[in-house]
Amino acid sequence: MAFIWTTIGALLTLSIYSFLYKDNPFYKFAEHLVVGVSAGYYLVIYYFNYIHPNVFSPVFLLQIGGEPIGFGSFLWWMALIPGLLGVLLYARFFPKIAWVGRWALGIYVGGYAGLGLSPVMQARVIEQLRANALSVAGVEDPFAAMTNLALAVGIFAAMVYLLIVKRNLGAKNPLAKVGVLLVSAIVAYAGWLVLSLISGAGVVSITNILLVVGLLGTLSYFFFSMKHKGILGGLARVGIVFLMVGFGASFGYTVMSRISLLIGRVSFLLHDWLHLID
Amino acid sequence: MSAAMTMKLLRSILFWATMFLAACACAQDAEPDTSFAIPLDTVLPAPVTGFEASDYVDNSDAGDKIELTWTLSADDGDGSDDVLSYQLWRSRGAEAAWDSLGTAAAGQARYVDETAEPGVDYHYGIAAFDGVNYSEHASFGPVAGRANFFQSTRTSVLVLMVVFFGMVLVFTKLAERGADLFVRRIPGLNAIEEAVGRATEMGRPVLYVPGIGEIDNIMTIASLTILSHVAKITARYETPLIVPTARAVVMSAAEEVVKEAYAAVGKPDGYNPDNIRYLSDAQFAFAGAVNGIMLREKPAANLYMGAFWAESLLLAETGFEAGAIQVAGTAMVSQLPFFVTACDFTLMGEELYAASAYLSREPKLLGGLKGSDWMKVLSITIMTAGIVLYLLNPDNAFVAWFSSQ
Repeated sequence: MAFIWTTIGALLTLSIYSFLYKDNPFYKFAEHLVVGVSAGYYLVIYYFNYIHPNVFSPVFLLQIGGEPIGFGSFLWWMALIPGLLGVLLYARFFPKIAWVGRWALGIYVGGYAGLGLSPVMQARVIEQLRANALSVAGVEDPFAAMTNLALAVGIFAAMVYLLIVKRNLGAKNPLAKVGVLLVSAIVAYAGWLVLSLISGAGVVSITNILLVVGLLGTLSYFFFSMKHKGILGGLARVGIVFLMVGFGASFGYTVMSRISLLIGRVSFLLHDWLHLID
Repeated sequence: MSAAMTMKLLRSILFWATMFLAACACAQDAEPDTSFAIPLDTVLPAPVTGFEASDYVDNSDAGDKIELTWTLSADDGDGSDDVLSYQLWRSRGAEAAWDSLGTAAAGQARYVDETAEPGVDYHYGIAAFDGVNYSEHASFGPVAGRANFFQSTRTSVLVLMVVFFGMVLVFTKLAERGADLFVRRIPGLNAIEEAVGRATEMGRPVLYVPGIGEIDNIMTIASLTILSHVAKITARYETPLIVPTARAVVMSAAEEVVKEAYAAVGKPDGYNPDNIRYLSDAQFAFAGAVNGIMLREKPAANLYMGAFWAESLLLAETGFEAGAIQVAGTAMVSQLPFFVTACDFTLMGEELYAASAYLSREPKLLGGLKGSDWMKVLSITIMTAGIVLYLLNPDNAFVAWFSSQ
């Protein structure tokens, strides 16, 4: 019996992969099967995971998690009211009372937003600010920290300068672009070495500095109240460079994980189904 | 000397050497040397000082946590360096019996009691332990845990929220009064119109996927605003618009949006309710079904706007293979790389919301966008000030205010 189910799974897997060649009846069959099965599956899942334990059981069976509750008690009302709000969502199917459904939606969205406000401000703003405010100066020695700050300002200024100069020289002059790029890189590197030697403590982490520079540039890119021209335009270009580098890394990382999924399916076909590999 | 004599001599030496060693060993057995025995440790470790207990405030503060702090024993890592751990006790009154609470490792100067009953007065005791002896007992009390209405350590969150919402309200009021609030044009928006125009020229439909997020997802709400804009263009050009959805409520909301858009441009008869489709709640079933639409109904323009997860690359790659012009927009950072790679234009992150505000000119959306813009300026200012102030004095109050969160 297990072999039959494994074979069905294997054939459906092959049907899905046949899409790589072109659309065909096997793919169509597998696609419609999974859509249909998922519709029924989710209906059952939603009922038994959400509606039954949270609404039906407390309101009609007077039980929560197997524990009895009183009819008309606080918990009973706390199950009934959200249940009724959920029913109101279906009012949109009746045009005359469709507006009632917006009450439920409003409470749902408003409650969710209110609960999320404080944690989001904490995690996505305060924590980021705090981490970035301190990371450049991540050393005890104040002089070494000053070199970090100088380096951060230097790199930032060099990148903005590079982008502005590049624009002035014109994009059609590759020699000018390469020259400016090389000079900027050499100046930044030399500055880093000199400051490291002078301070004696060395620069702790260039990564932190790049982090702060990237953050400033990226924030500038997402500033919509002014046109991206002049200094803001230069900053925004720095930001987009950092964004693209980040996207590239994320892309590569995810492709690796997708390859592991492919290996899983191939292993299913060759090991579980055909027993060709151990 | 002959070889035989040499061997005899060697054997004799070996014999007497063996006898000598055996005699030495016997002598040692007969008189054991006790000079290497470990002396019994009778010296107490130095006591803990500065022992204090206070109500602990954290994100889920129900009054059941009490924080204990102390100064390490002088023998912990220093002095005679023989502290192994700190033993903690707790009692429900000055005269009540002590119960063992727990142990903190050497070098640790803090412990959080997470088993306190809210409102109960406790006394706490501590002693350093060297493996044999306890130091003198230090105690503190009474102290009680209480649920805090205001979490003082998160004051900065409150302040920034008040500032942010203040700015949002001011800009919203300005927009309502007709002030001309500038929002720069998003390049991807031009691409949407070009894509719809191309589909019209080719006589093929436009596919608009509002993501697989629920209706409470802000990306879905922004997507529906952009859908309204797209529906108006397709209505004018009389180009079919297909909107597959993964959520039932999103489908009915999309129906209303498209229907209103067709009515707004005077083409209510062009609206086809069969083109607003619910496919499946299951992520990959939805992706498979949308891929089927791309290959069989051959839309010339695919627009992906909203919340996407792992299905993003499946959709965008199939659309690319089908030869459609594609424009995507999402604030899901993990999915942006795929859209950037496989689509012709991408609205990245906040650009999705900005596009929504730009198109609708809705005062609330404009207010939110302008408020968040100036919040970015404030963030850059705070960050820069934090860096400089930290360099001048790592213990300054400004940095400490953020660090205490």
